[in-house]
Amino acid sequence: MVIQAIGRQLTVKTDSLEPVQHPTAINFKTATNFYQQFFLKAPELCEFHSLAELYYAALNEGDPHVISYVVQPYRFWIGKTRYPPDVHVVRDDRRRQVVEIRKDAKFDEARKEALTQYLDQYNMDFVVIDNQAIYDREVEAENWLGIVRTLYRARDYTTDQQETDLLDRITVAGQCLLGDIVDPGDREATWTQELALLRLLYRGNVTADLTHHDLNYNTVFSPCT
Amino acid sequence: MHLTWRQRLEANPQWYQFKHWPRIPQETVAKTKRKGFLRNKAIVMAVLEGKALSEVAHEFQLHPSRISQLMAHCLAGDKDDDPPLTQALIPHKVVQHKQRKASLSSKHKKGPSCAFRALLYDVPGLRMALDTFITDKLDDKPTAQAQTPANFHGVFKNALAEAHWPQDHYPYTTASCAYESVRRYLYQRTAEIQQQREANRKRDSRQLVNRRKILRALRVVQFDEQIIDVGSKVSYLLNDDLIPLRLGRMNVLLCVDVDTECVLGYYLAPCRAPNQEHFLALIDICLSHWQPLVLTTLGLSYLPDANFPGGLPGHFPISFGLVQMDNAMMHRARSVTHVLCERMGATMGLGIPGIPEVRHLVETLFNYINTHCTHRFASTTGSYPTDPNKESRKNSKSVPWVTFQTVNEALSVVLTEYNLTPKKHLGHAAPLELFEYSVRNRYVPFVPKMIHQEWQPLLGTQFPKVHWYRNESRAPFVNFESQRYVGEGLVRAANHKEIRVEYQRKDLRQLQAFTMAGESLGEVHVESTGWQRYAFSAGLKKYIEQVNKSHRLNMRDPIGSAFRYEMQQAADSPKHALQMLNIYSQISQDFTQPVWMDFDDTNTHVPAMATSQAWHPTTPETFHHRGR
Repeated sequence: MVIQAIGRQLTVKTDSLEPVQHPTAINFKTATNFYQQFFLKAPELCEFHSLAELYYAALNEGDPHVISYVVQPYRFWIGKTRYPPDVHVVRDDRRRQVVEIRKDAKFDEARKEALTQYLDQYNMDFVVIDNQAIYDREVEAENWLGIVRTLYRARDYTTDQQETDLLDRITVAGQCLLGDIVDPGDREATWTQELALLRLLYRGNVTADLTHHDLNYNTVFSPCT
Repeated sequence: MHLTWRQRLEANPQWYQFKHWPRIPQETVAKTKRKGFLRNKAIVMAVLEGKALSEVAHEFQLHPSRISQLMAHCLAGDKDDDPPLTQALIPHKVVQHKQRKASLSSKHKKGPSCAFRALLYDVPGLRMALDTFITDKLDDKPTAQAQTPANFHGVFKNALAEAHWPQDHYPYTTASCAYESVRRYLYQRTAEIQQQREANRKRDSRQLVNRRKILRALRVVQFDEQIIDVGSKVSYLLNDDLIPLRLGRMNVLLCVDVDTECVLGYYLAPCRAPNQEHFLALIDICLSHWQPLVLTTLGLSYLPDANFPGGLPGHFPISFGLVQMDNAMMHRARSVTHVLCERMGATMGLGIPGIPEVRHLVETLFNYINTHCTHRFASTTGSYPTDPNKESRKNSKSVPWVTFQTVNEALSVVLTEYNLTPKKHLGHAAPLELFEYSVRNRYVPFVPKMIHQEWQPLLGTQFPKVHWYRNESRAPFVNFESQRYVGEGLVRAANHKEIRVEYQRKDLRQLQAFTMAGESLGEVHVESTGWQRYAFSAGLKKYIEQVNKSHRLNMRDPIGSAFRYEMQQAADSPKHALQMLNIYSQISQDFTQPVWMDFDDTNTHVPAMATSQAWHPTTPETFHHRGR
């Protein structure tokens, strides 16, 4: 199936608009700064071609408005050139986005215009993000990478009751430190509490400042208003 | 347009005040020139204040023309060029490049001073031809010549000939045709062009947040492997003769935590090309509780408290955050991705190819191993034929005294010692100490036992289909690694449906089978009796099948035949001796299980050493091969 739209001068085609991760070719895997990780909002093992893409996925995990995303989702043809965008993001506060992450956010204007018009027909936005804008949030991204790894490892374990109790406790207290929940001397005993807290944070029930400092025992968690 | 010093001052009135001149501290001027510098400075300050030249000259006991000359030296010059100012006050300092005013013709007899520089300007196309010679090499063009002074001089002479330079002009008037000037120009111009390119090179504009990173254990780990350049031996006993064998060079695989610089584990693979199974064995070692080796080598001993993080009291479970590796094939294996990403939830990073500096820490550790362990012995290859570090021909004909076990023990001692050595850049803390501190006081991701024990890197899972051809009166079987596996429990599995099998990668003789719903179907074992005798891995099986293609082994006893094939060539070939050791390490499960071997010579074209030999190696370094 070929879907066409006429941009100003360029045609845009794709076989399918269903976002499915396209595997990275072996040669490209070895030629690029390649990363792989399982995330929670992405359906399968995510493959990234740069550190900026990895960080962007981590930031999406930490954004409670992002419902899901798919990396390397499409193969467009813009004119005679093949173009694979980086991420397809589904959000609950705006339209779906097809995101390209580029150094200095440089993207050919004609191609961008063609792609924007084409995706607009399907209620999608085309967004180009600068690498530096992502690197400026490095601390936050690294924190979310660590949190996602912990949550992914424990994906088969439930902590519903602990989450409820913990949320009540934090709401009553107004705030609490990570060190109040996690016992550094006996991590095994407080692991379920720790997991519950991270899940609350992930879902946006509690909030913490992960922007400026690494997650540590003196990180403050407070309920979301 | 040339400006005199008075014209320069009129054009730039700020230089009437000496405080606006560039400051050169007198301590930076050479002692022998300091006195002259200070005197010149005083002269210039006096003139700038408005004193008459004659007055200044009288004060400093100099001729007024000398004062004028000094001022011109500081301020005069071309209008578009910056004057040297304070630099010119330093006695004998060259502040302006000399320019040749006399002609280059031999008639003028002005000598060759500044002649080469003048030649570059006067001869059309000369400078471009010389620059092209250099840039072709820097651009790696196929037409580039070797950058030798002789070649460069040839280009120089060619360019002069093409410009029809008169034969009575410089450089033809010199004996060497300006060879020395050309030689110096080659190096100077090459450096200039390289520096220009380096300055103009687009750099990574990424600006990471400038923050003081809290050192956190297990945030980033690095893996790598390297061939260790040390000759070693293993011995085996044949008919009461102890036969030592020289081994080929083997690989050491290493894992290190970046923030604490602590070695998490190592694995000495007795093979030339490690595969995914060796890599998974290293991960297994890092995750397991480390036990010190029983040291058999005289003189080797562990330091007190020698350890790897996996063996620390408290047993903090080791996990990985970001795993940095290079893009070797074994790192990209599906089994490795499955263990690291799916089971351990880590991030795998393969890095940009050709830039090992990204994993500088593990590369530094290899250098440490070389310095403290392996390079204490003669090099097996040397860097060049007459390298004094290379093993002499006499010694290369005999077997080294270092055994494989000694190398393994030495690595264990050296790496544990590294973990206990305080490092200045870590605040004089030892890596192991820093690791312990980090896991106790920093928020390091914790993995509970119930999850950690599921991470068994050497446990594989596959989903083969059950085949049951009742019309052939055959028991149900599954195909796994090109072999048929049978078991009583398979009758409970539905035909042509998938089941789950779990297996130990180091021993594929038996698998544990389960239905997709999780119900156990018991054990299934390889149907072929030849493969039932000794433990084998997928890598070993593949190797044996490759050798069988060319050498037609006895596949009724594939492992024994392969072992004997290697053994028969081991005396003359370190490569085969190493492969023999590799096979033995796998069938004995890393030298932990004793192995008896019987060789059946029926239907083999390999000459028999004896009709039947029972073979029981008791220690890794000695193989007892007894003939009957």
